[in-house]
Amino acid sequence: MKKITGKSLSVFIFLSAILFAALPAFAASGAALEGGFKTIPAIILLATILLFIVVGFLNKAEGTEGYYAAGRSISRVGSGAAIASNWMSAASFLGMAAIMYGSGYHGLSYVVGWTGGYCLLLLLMASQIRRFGKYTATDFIGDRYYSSGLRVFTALIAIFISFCYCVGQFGGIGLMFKWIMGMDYTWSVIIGGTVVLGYVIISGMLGVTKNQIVQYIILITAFLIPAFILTFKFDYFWLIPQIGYGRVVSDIVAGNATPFINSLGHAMQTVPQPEYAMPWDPATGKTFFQWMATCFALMIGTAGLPHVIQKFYVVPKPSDARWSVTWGLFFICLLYWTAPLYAAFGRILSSNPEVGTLAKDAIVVYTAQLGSVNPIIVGFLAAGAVSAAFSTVSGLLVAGSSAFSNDIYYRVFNPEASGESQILAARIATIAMALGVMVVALLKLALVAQLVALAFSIAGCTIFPLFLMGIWWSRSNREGAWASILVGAAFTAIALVYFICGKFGVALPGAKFVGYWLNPWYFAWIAAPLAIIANIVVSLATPDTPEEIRKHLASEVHGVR
Amino acid sequence: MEESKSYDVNFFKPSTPFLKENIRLIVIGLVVWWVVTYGFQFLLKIMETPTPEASYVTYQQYAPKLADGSASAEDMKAAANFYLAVLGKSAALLKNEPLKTAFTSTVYNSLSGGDQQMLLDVAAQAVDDKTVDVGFINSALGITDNKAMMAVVPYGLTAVTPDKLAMADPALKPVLDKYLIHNQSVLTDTIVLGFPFHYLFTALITLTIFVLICLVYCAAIDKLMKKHGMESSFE
Repeated sequence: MKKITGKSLSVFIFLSAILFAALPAFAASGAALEGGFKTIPAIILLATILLFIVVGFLNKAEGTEGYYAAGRSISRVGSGAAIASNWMSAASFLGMAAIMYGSGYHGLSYVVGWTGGYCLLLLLMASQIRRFGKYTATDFIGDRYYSSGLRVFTALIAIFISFCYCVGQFGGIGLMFKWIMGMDYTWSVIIGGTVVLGYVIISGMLGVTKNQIVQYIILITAFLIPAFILTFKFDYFWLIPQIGYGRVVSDIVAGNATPFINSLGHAMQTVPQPEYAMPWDPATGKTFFQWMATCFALMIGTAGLPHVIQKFYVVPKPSDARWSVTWGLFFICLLYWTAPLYAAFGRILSSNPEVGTLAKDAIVVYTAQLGSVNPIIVGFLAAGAVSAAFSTVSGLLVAGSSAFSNDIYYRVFNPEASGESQILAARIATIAMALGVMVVALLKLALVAQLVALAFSIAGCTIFPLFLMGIWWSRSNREGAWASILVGAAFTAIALVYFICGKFGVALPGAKFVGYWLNPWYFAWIAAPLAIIANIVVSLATPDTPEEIRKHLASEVHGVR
Repeated sequence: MEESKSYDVNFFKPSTPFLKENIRLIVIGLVVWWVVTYGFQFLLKIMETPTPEASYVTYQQYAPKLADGSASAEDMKAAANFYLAVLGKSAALLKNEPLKTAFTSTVYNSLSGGDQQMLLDVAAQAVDDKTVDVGFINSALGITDNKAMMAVVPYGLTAVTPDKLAMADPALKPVLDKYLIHNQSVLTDTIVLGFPFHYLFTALITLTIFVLICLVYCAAIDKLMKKHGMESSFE
């Protein structure tokens, strides 16, 4: 084990050395917001990544046993912070503000959807999943529905979900590397992706949970400090910036005239823009239905994402699972209460047409820059965005590759595989996945938050119904589960095919209808209920769940004695 | 009761007192969650009235005069100001040629003879060069103390010729409707803590209630487990 760690470390140092050697090549003179190599942010970023590795080494777990023992020594508050950092990615850090900046009130459906899902998770699933006593989402489904075919199919879907989720993250990492290094997007994604891959290969063996606590502290500090500075600087109520930015929103609605200027020397003023704050405003092109559907799909997706669900298996007790969700949600909200602030300040600071069109997904960083926040703090903000993406990507790549090595390689292709060849399979899967993600991220299919929303919709209509029904209705059986997951997968396929064809200009019949009602960001709004109905109908028409499983469910999960 | 029956789990038919109370807590939590999230949005939807911005209401009064050519210089100036404020809303509108033509045409008509020729030159120049001097337009429109509006002027001009002016192109109506009519109600127009109330509710209060739901549920379920003596044997 130690040998492998040493090897990975040297790989990482080698990669970093190449990166640094190549830096001068990317240095270019730039405008105020874009372009040019930014030394301070680059150093902060590198220091942050090194910090994660050092903390990981200090808390290195010895084998599986040690991993869980380490889990037990961590408090509920601590595992709450770990849940929050595992959860918050580039989509939370950069993507939500981007959607609000572009589509106003519609963006709040992401803010609400990505927090409200935790209520569902806690009320309906968290402690029950812990009591069921399995270690991964695929294990739960394979055992509860007594079907190894279903386990493999779920593993495939879990891998696909991780893949889509990662595409959004790589987009965010690419944008931040682009901003720091001042090179073009393609190279930024390739270099950022390589760094993250090196990091994942090393961090796969390090103390994950403690590391996630450190990651949470870094990302929340990086996100909050500029919020205080912006509200203070522009004379809004700065003691609680989350409330202080309310007047910024009202100023955008009414149009305003402040005595302040932004960092480009333009007045911080705007013509009246009620379309920014009014619900489902026609100017944003988003409707009431889209708000509700997006919000709902994101919520059930939260409760169906394998890497989120898996967090509950590693806490010592069911009551810890519940309290850590509560703490986790609170820590998540600290960022979510603040994110709309960046969108509002961004809107008003960039309202002058001379600022030009800004990349929406980088608006958080641009806003801090336009507000003349100290470059060191802006650099820290960008590093926070990268570490948000890193912590999530490493979790996703590990989840995806272990699903491949345990559920597919070991069970289907090579049941005699030794532990070592399983680890090798996981390594190869990690690298293959990262490379695939990099290629897709280069296509720039959509905004970061939207790409991530796709992963949520898939999880919401495939995995969530299986967990919900599996926990709360013992009659739901293998056949019903197959029907349910196939309905979910069919909707996923339809939404994706139409989306991809639309992107490449292939006209399919009914494209407009599908694009609106079965949009890839929220098709789960209808797919999930239909999957549940399919589950009920087919389950009732086929034999009951074996008694052994019903007994386990009743006595272990629900305390029936 | 036959043995296999007792192992059935059904959310709607809880079989033990503990499950019954547990599910009651869950249902209460879900109802609060639903009302806060979706109930409020439905309320917004039910109460909303499509409300045009004040400047759009005024515009509709003099718009017919722009079309039939009976508009006074004052009307022209008001219309130019109105179009300018619309142009300033978004980068997409700054690419809308009918809107830019309407703006440039109304500016042209609110200027006196000598300045009109200057406008035609400046407008043609502004297509490629946004640093062109538009001071005389700012003065004519009376916006010299409004930096937000002044910033938009060079971007809003487009090349026009005196024989092809269009001050109220019918093609503009859908664009203006889209950008100037908002879904408003007392919920959106009341200001609380500086926010429009609905924005405060969705962005802050909703999330706070989510945290409270979790907190209360955790405390309640811990108590419930203790009551049923499940803490030691079960957890």
